[in-house]
Amino acid sequence: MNRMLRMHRTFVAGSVVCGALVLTGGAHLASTQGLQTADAVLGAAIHQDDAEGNLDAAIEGYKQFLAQYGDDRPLAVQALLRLGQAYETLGRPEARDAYERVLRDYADQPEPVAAVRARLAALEVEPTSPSAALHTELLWPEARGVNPGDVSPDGNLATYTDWEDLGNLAIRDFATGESRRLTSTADGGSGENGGNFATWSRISPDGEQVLYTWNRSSPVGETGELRLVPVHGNRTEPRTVWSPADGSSAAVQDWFPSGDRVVAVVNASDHSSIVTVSTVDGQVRQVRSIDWARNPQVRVSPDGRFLAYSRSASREVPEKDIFLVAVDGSSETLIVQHAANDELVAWSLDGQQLLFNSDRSGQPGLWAQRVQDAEPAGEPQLLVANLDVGTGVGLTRDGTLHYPVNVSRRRMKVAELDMKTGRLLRQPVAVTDRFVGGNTEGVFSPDGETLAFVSVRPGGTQRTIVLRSLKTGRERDLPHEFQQVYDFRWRPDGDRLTVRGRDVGPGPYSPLDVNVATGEARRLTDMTGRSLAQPTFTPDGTQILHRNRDTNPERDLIYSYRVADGFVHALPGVFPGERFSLSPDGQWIAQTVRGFEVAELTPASLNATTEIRLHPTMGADVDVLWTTDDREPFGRWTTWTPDGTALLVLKKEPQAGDYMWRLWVVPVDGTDPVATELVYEPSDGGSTPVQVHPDGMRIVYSEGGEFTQFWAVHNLALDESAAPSSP
Amino acid sequence: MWTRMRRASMVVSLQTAMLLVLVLVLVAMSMSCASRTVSVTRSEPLEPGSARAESSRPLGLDLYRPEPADNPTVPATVTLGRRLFHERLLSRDRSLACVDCHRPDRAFTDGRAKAVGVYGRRGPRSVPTIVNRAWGESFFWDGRIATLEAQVLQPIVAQLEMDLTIDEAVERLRETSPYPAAFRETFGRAVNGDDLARALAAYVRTIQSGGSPYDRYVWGEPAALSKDAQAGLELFRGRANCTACHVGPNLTDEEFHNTGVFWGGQPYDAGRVLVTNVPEDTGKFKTPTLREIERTAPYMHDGSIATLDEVVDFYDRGGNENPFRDRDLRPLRLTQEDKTALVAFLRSLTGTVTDGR
Repeated sequence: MNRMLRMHRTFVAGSVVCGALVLTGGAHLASTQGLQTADAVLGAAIHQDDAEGNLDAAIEGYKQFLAQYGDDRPLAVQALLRLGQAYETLGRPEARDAYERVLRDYADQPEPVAAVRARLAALEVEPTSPSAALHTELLWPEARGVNPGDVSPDGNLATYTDWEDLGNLAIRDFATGESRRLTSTADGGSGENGGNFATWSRISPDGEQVLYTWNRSSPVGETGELRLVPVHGNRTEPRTVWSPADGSSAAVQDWFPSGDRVVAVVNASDHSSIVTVSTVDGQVRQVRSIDWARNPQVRVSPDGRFLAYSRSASREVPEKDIFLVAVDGSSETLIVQHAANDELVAWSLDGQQLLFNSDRSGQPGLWAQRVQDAEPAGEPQLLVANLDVGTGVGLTRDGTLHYPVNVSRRRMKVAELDMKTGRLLRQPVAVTDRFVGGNTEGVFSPDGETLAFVSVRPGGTQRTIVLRSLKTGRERDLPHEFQQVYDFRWRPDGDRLTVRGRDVGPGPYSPLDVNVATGEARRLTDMTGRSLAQPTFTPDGTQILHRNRDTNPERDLIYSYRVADGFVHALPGVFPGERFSLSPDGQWIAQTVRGFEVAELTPASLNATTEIRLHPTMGADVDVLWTTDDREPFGRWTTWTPDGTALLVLKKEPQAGDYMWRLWVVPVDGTDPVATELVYEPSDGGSTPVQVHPDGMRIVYSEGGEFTQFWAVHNLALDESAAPSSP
Repeated sequence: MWTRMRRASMVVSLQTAMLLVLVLVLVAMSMSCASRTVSVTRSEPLEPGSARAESSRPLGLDLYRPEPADNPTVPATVTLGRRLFHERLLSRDRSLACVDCHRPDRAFTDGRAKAVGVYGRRGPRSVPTIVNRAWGESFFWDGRIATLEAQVLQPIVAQLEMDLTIDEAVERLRETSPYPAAFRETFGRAVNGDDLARALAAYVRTIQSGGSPYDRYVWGEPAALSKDAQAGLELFRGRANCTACHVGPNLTDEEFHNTGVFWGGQPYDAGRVLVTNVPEDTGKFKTPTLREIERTAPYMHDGSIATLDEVVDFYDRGGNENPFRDRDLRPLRLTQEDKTALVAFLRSLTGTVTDGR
């Protein structure tokens, strides 16, 4: 039910609320006694209306009441009022009939008559239907593991990548609430060199086809090609429209109105290019390249002559503006320029305005900029205040804007465990009540007095490092923001943190040394390597172990970087391409190694299972601590207990048709693993390790996943004179 | 799985590239025997008129080519500019035209370490190539000029180059057929300095290089690059970190970097700091395009490095250490095989140079 109508209903219902309560109670009483009284009939209808939300049933109930008990004038007028409201909510014209009947037949009852006159006056303002008012609508309350794609022109369907189905492309029918696959060969990206899965998708103007980016593995990494599949077809093989060179990827952006050409963005390691591609013969034209922008959102004008896209004006500025480039490359115009961040959402249906999301008012809002002859015309207008549509999903042909909302249930929690028995000594409690949902990567300081964690603030893209005193609960934000921070670790001296991250602005990911007093960050090594992952100091501080992420698996190894002279060497025999953890004494490396990845290197072990391995840093035989016959039973990380006697790992286990993760303690002496009482849904896909306090009992971890809601905002007032509204 | 999803939502990894099926076929056919041929082609004819020059780009370059609103790239202006580019009247001793330093057969450079102007005067820096300058964001090695229209007049007035005032240049052109008529026909007015700049800049904008084996490879023709060159490209984008500066279709970030070439050079040339007065800009010079790099030796702003092998050696040792060296520079520890691969890749950037469209 939309906000405007809820408001209407509250208003009108006010005059009958007391009676309704009595009646509802009466309905229950009557039903239990098997009686059919006027009160019971009307109460049952009101129950359907208010409690069940079943307006059709409520309407039938009100009509039944009026037919049976229309002589009961005080109740009948209330029934007519409610009948009118129910019709109004559904946008049906019978609402006017019900209200006019009140005026005609119950003119002696001033309160209902006044209420009805107000409603009829409102209907005059909204002559077409009640739904002509701006309102939002929740179409899909909880979509788990999806990347939204597009909405069909009629607004009934939405495409998305279904990560609960290994990354296949799927489509949702909002009317039926059912989803179905459009592809069937995704492997969750777990195959060799990246695997196969869908990402971006757009529905053709005629609503018949979906163009999507299909990522496939290739010898040099994932390659994103453009494919077409019918919306309504069953078991139809997708058609490849354009397959770029291996290692390249094209992100589908939009269709041209003609339906025979699309626009895509090719993201390279050093720049992005906006290209147009013929869906007929795969012919490609490179329209515009930007050195610093990753994946700008691009939308084709309704006349097919221009491409609107958002990007920052230069590589030094993170906030985006909106540009218009001619499809033939003959011109480019800056359309929306502001110090705030402006994200392109869509063209208006008539091509006269560009809708964009901006925080220029201090809060996210949906704005419109009129465009005339490829130039901005007038000032931007606020369409909807306090609404964050992100970059939207798509605009339907009736002007409804669909958009996703990401909802996080993430909570960072501290619990206390007996590592020997697995018993929970203290139930998990949330660490902080600041910026709930945005905190992760908690890690205890070596002295056990401070918890450092990463916080993503609402509306922000930067990361803030927070230091929380475990004694006082006081929190301090380091005065330095990062574009990304991963692999969070304290240095043994407790004065600094080692992270893999990137300062605000473009540049490679590097191991950074962060001073916890000042927040100052500096590069730890002169190895520029955007691939340097999991930088881990050895206990003596002389070496930094790290994983060199590389598209070539032969080079995706664990390396040691000697701080004194920069000498680098690969650790012999350590399994490549996996997260590793270094034992407190620096003698051992622990990893979870999945069997099918082992098979890549040693075909003989094709049926190998997933293992938790222990490998000496100085080279020797591998110890396998735990072997399972499941493909992905463990989380990707291992965490050492402070005394170096055991590892903590997450292990998947079924639960109520789904699965959850249980924390296990795996002794390194080879004795049996111990299941702890801690079962939870890890956040961040389980990529963030549990961290153990120096006391060996307290742990910090992040739980709670994220999901997406699909919303629509109806009746956007794309008119300069319209006053901003709030949904 | 969620990690995969997040990664996908930020859009997948990856490296450049595009497949242009029909064009690739045509390019492959036209270049199959002469991928490194020194060639300059021009749209013919370039008739005067108001129609915009044909929107045509060699493979690998954007259709969008920036140009100022008051100087659209129309054939009439380009034709006039091309003639002026070859006009020796624009130098004091009537011995030099723009084209004498920016020679088409050398990818619009001159093959010398340092520029040579009128009367044999030697400049302090080398002549940079001017291919693809339409996409330039600042001009000259130190970026002291912001627009191409402003830049093209500078060599005319520079004492070490053509050594003429703009007034003198205009006077000479006014006295020489066909310029008075050509300017009037093109701009509707008599010869003047601003239109001289417009014409020259419009022509320079049409000097383009693209369609190289590298372009063909990244647009989906795997056989366009040798295995060596492919390995070199991987190094270029990866361990050798060349894409820290040489990015995008034109293989330059249009930024300024201190690689240490200036350190110990004679004469001492502090580069960008002379423009900005910011100490951190000491020794910085603009990243040049790498297109046609095989044909633009000697290298660096002072022409101090003769061959591509030596250039790779220079970067392998992390450039020259100095107080302001760019932090992206570091010893690369390349093997000889790596170096050979990198040079093979650099040679693959030789494409087709076109002008006039």
